[in-house]
Amino acid sequence: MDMVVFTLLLSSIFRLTTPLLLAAMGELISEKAGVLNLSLEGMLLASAFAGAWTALVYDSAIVGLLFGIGAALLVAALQAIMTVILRADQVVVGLGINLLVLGLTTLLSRIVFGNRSQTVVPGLEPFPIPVLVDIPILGAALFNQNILVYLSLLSVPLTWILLHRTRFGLSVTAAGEDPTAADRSGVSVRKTRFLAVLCTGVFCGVSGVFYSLGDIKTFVEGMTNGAGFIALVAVIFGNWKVFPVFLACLFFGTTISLRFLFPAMQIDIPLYILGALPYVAALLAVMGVIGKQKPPAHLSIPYILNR
Amino acid sequence: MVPLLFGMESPSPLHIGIFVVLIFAFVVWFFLKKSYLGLELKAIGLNERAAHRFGLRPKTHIVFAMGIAGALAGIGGAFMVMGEQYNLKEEFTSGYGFDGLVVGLLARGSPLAVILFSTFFGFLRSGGISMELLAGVPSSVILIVQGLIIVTVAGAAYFKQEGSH
Repeated sequence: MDMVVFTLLLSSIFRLTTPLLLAAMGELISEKAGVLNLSLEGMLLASAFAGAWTALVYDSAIVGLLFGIGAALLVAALQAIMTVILRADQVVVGLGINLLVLGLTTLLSRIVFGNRSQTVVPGLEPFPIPVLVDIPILGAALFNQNILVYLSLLSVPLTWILLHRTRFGLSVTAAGEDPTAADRSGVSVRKTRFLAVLCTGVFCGVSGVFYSLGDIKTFVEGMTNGAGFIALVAVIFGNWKVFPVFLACLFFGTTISLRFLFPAMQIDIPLYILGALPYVAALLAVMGVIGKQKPPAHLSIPYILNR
Repeated sequence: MVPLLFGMESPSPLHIGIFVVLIFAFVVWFFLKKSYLGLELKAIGLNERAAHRFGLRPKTHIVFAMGIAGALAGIGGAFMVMGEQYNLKEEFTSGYGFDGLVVGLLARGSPLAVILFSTFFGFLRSGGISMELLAGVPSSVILIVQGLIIVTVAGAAYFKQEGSH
């Protein structure tokens, strides 16, 4: 494989990793706080649709991005109310929200864009970063992307700082590991978890618009296509630590890129194997083949205040 | 091909699957409620450590239970292919697995609730398809209804179990 193809591959890996990375970082915050957020898919889809629609109406991709974040926040708020305040079963609520958002976005997109629309919406164009783009291979691949890619890379140190160097991060970790002790120390477990889920909403809002504004510049029904679940898997595979989750997302981004690269290079591997790879990896991780798994001790267990 | 209930000429697509499934629901209920193995499974579900102390083996029981669950799901899939579609396509399950998961979670251990919920969801699905064909209303409305029901029922648990946790 020559250098041009390799650079192209790298570039596409970074692009395809972007939405996964953002969503996974967001989900990491939620899960460290103890909330299992199966509604990631719903947040991504809501954000993708809202982004596409408002970008069309206001003729601006940035406005689309903002509204996308808002839409994802709405979904996150619903998830937060159901799981943190009403203490509903987190798996059921997550799946229910996914269905709800899928239905709503499909219906609304029929109304707004019409059946089988080909409407193109204003999108986020790639722009190069002056000095860094001249680094051979890596520079051309990495520093000539749209803003979401850069944001996704920034989100990694941002999440690490948030979790390990702020008071909020400490509350999050406490709420996930031992909510009773956290409560006794004066940390409001409810508020922390609620905020954590809203953070996930913001991250997913940025991630979701990647699909409709950063990639194909239109909205297709169900276009996120399981990405939310892959992000969830990445958090598991990364053992709930920031840098390993980043690597996991890169890995999954690579498998997705290869799904496009192999046919282009006329390599004849069944693509479905690549599609299954993230889930196989997650199974291996959960089985402990890759090393001891340490999820937050109180993941997905609702917390009841003892009055 | 699986025998149709009303014969090959009638427009009704019902096949013996519906009887088989109801029989299995009854068998599961009987197994869980009346048999010793069912009681063991319940004990493991309620308190795995206590069951272990008592002398049960949670690992084998859980694997066994999941195996049975898989087998039952397999029967469902088999009926879908042999009783309805008569061929094998990609993604022929079109999300039924998730529906089944949701029904199981909502029913919270009661086979009767499973029958009722799954019938209801089946009606929703079929109604959605007809709605799209006959009235031009997109079947995604059904997804919205399903999602709302699931979220609402899940949330209702708060108002019922307050104090009994």
